[in-house]
Amino acid sequence: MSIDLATFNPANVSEFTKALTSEISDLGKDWWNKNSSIVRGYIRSLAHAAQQTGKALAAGVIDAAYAKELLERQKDAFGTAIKFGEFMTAALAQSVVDKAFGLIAAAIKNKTGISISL
Amino acid sequence: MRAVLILCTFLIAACEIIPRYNSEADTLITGAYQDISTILAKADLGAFTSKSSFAGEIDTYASIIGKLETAKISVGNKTPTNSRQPAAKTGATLDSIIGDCITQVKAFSDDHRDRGIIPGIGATQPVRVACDAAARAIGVNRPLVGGN
Repeated sequence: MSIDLATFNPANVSEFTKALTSEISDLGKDWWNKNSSIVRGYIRSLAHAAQQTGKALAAGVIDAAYAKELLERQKDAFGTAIKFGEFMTAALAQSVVDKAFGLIAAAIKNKTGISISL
Repeated sequence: MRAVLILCTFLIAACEIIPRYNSEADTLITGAYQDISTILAKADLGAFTSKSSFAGEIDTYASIIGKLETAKISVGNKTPTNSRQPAAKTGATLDSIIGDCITQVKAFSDDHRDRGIIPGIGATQPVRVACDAAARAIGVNRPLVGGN
């Protein structure tokens, strides 16, 4: 459910908290749906790469030294995928803060007529 | 209620958890990523099995690395330096993700120059993952077109 900021005017803290919780819950679900599938895709892609490297080594297409280099790069990319997950989690936290203060600013404006830019 | 709202506003208004959107870096990384995607697709299709093919792509590699390194500097310049600010830590993570993409592109281009790229040996995926992550991370706060 999306709140209409133009009319958002909670009567008390409880009403404000309820609205905020609803908005944050929606943000969390959207984040999880989007980013969990991206990170899963990265991991699947790198697992596939490792499998290809193993097969190429077994078939004599590449030597052991090159296979080791490729596997190390795949391992590094796993690390990048983890960093990406961390960063996107922080981005979710930022969205939550921004959402909360968007609601606060709207509530202040609708109560007092004063517009505060955050 | 009014007092609570105003107090909350002043308490957390300065809470910057991730660096602000950097359109310069976003444009550079997005441009680089388009070229990276083309290079990787060619490699997967077998266009680079001979190392002699490197000469025809050297300008593209140079452009990609130049864009990524410029973007990395831009991100570094705009990341808060006070380590107590959350955005300083996440800015460092973003900088590191871009650095990972650069490292992967350089390793891949070195392979191309020195031995050519054989398709299906697991060489393209690490570049794609690292640079996809960089492109997505830098664009995380990109304003919506026709924004609302």
